[in-house]
Amino acid sequence: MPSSLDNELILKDVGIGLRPQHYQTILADLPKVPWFEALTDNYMNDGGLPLHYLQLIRSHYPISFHGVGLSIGSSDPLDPQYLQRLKSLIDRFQPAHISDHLCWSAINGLHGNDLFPIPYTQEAIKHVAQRIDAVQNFLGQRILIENVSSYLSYQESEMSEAEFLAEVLVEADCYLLCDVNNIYVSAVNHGISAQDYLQHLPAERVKEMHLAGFEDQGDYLLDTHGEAVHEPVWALYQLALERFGSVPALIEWDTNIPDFEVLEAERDKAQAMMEAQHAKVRT
Amino acid sequence: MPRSGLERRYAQFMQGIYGAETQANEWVKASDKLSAEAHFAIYRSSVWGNLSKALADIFPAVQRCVGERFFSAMASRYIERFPSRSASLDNYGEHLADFILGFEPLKEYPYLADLACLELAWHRAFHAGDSAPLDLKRLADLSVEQHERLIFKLPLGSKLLESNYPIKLLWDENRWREPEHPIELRSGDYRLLVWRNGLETCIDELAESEFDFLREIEKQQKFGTICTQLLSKYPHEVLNKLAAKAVSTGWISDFHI
Repeated sequence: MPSSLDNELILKDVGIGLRPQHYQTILADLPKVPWFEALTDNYMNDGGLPLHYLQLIRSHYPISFHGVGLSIGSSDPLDPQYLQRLKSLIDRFQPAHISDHLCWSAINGLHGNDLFPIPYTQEAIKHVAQRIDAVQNFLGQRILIENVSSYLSYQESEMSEAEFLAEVLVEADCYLLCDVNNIYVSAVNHGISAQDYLQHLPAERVKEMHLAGFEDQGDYLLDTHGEAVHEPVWALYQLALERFGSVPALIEWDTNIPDFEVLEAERDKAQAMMEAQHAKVRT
Repeated sequence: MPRSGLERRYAQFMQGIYGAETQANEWVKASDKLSAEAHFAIYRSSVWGNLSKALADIFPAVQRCVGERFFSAMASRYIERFPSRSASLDNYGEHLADFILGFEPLKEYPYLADLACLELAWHRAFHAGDSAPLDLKRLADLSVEQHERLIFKLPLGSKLLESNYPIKLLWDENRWREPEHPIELRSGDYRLLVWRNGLETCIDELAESEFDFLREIEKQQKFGTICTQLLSKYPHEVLNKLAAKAVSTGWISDFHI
């Protein structure tokens, strides 16, 4: 299958999630950021300012597309209009990566507009893999699937999240967007080892990593993307670098969005860790 | 056709999100820290929070008029009645104006439904497709005989609105910040066009003649028919001026014969 990842050399190092609050700063200063990741669903309307800004930023930087609306785990049919809009966006902006989440969001026409977990069963592996395959065939390229933060476990689950994820990746022949923060959040919420989770993932399929901040709610961690990356997540990122190598990584920040310099500082830290690991491997 | 295990589970999950009792303890694992119900409640709270925020993002002026706490409570009642039916939160809230009209606690504030209509129109125009500028040369090259058969088009996403209340003033004062002074709500006849001029989303206040003229264009009437219909109300020279203004302002983005 032809893959958008033929372009993967374009995406290197650590990028930053593109948010409307930073359009002006980015275009005025053209900061030294190797790439930006656009939230696909924010650009699925017919026209207007968001698409205009994305076009301007695309003229200066490589971009990737990251979606939340595919509902790849749902038992509703795949939404042909959504897929067509996604394809049109891809044709227009030529993103280096196209990703969405391993979750479901809608059933019987009702939408939660959220990332709901999938039961980790053989039935679900087959079902999700078929749908990823259908999406990849429609788009004519491989996509990346991201592990989500989860807050519940189904009684019928037959395996761990990491085992489920690994089987889906192979069965669907797609790639993994490894969200390091989500692994940590889910591990704490379910009382499992984040390190073990990481060890179970197939390294050869990891093509991007995400870093973000969570909120401690006392009894559980909430994945808000509203704070700086926490220390345990940086530690897990170090392990991920050792295991997966210097795959492109991204700083995400979605709520309480700070000035762009704050994101740049987070990016610089992740970049320094990536370069240090790279140097270590070379020596 | 029998439903799959996945479909049954998802349906049960979504029922719990939008109101019905889920008995989560029958299908969600409890943990050391949280019961099965508490685990599930995290998702319900997240969905309702996201939808409430989506409404606040699309209707910020309505939110400022009623206050955050009232808006949040009203949003909960709205979500109960209108669960999301789109993958995009940009499509949420299309029934809010009608909902406000029938919402007992707001019956003394009839202008709020019209303000909600204006905010939804602004939101839709903001995201509407881009209209190319009007081809003035092609228009100028038409014969007088062809003028009669012209059908003009408003820019994509345009919306004409009428209200008995100064909703543009309310929008101006509440859209981006808390109003600095009390607003006097003088009732009257207020007519607006919400549209996109290039990348700028505009709310233009219209004279009655302008509104009548643009409404006929919105109905896709031929220019000759529009003139015939409006001639009883406005003299010929007024109609000519209306057409000239509609073209020069950008209210007309395209035409066909």
